[in-house]
Amino acid sequence: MSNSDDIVTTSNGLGYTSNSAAHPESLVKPPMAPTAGEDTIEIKIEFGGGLHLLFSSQPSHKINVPRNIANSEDGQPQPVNMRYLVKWMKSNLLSEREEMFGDGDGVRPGILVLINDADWELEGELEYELRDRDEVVFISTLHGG
Amino acid sequence: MDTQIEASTSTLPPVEEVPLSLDEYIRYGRQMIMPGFGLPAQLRLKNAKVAVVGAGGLGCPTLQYLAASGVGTIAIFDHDTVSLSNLHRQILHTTDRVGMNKAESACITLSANNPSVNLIPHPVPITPSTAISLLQPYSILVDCTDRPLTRYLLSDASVRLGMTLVSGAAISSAGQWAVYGGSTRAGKRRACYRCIWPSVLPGSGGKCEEEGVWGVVTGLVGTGMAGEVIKLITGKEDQEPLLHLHHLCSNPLIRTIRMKGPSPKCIACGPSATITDDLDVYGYESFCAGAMGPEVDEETGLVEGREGERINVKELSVLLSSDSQISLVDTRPPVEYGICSLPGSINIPLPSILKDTSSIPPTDEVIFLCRRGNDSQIAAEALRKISGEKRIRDVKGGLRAWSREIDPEFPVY
Repeated sequence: MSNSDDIVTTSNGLGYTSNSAAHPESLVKPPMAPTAGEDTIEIKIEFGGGLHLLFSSQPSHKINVPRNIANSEDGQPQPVNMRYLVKWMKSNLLSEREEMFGDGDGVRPGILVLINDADWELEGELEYELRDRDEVVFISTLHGG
Repeated sequence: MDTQIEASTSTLPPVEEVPLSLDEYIRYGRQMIMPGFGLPAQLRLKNAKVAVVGAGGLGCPTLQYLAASGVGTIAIFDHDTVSLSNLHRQILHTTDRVGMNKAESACITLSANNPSVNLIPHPVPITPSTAISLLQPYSILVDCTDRPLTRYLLSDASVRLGMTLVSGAAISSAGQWAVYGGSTRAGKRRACYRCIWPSVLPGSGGKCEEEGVWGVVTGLVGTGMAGEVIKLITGKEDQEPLLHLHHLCSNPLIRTIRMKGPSPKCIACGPSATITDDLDVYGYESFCAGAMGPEVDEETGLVEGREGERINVKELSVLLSSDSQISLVDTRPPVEYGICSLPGSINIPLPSILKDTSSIPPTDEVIFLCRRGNDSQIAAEALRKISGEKRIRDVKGGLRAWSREIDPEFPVY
């Protein structure tokens, strides 16, 4: 019954369990939108410290996002950034309540965001311009010992 | 006579005072011969004064390697006692020392390995009013505790004392550790624990007792923490601050990430810090309140419960031996139900019940049961809301109480 997948998907460092963890049959496959193509880039998203429970209990996701998006002020095309990705995750990937993950345009304090193995504060946070095959990791702290 | 001896020894070169005992050259030889280690690193270890808080899952492996490698003075703080359920991971303690204070038990094992280490057991808790004075004598602080309150308290105390903090955590199959505070050799200040984790996520205070933990996960994290301490003492610490994340089933096994620098907004180490040496005035309890679930008393449960809604295990025992048509629903996770269960009970985990109550058998009476009597109460309340005509009750104290009061042969885990 128990295998390493069980350990990855149902065992976590947080005190809560999500409905989807208890009911793997209810998992909805995350959308791949938009489909891969010349005008999209591939981003790998990973969750640690139990945060995957907010995202259909899947610790790792590969998604495609547009290479360019419209600038919010002048509508001119600009490279896709973390602001877009976090917003996209909230509306497409998040399987639990938004306040468990988001805070304004960003993420809640207490969730650490890593871009290619560096704290995103070192990379420009929400303004960081994503490149093809970037890896973005979201983790929360653990307290047990 | 005297001149004769002088004459006979004068042919040998003068003996300089050796800084280690001859046994110590043998004991530490295998690490001293490593390039870049040598006698200087061994002497730094010998002169180091380290405080380790917590002699549990993380503390045991940390302490084991610190003492064995020759850290000269180690203070061990733990007010808890050894219990049988600790031994699968807290490998310094032994079966015959169940009930002994953990700091004292750890010292017995450590001094058997290395009698030359000055071990100072402190069988007392570290509190906001005692932290600064208890930790003052030491230069490196190692946080091997298991709850948010002590983590933030130790971080704040280390900032006030200018100590470097090595802090780690582990639960379930995951763990993390890092060096916080102080400065790198290049003079770059490190972020403190609060800079990186400015607030406590609700529900993040999970306990190993509830969620379980792999012994090898605390072992790996504690060993990593000891490695950081030894690197700090011997001047071989990482050039830039790193955070290590471990999951037993991940590839790579340990993910290492670059941490940001100190936060200018940090209330402990920032330019407008509000936390002072008077740690007592900072409300640690309220700051960490969201992390843990509510403290639950076995008799009252999560909520008081109205008349006739809760039964005790004696009443359950009578009901089970009668021939009344009752469904006994065990709300624990399937893995726990598989460890032990009452004959005649059926397993419907709490999340299933909260999602959909149709799996509960359509008997007139339902009794909910769980490990301690909390989840079963939530299940009873949920079913009561949608089916008014049923008689729905839950068992106070759950299977723990059953084992204690009805059947001592029923396993407690």
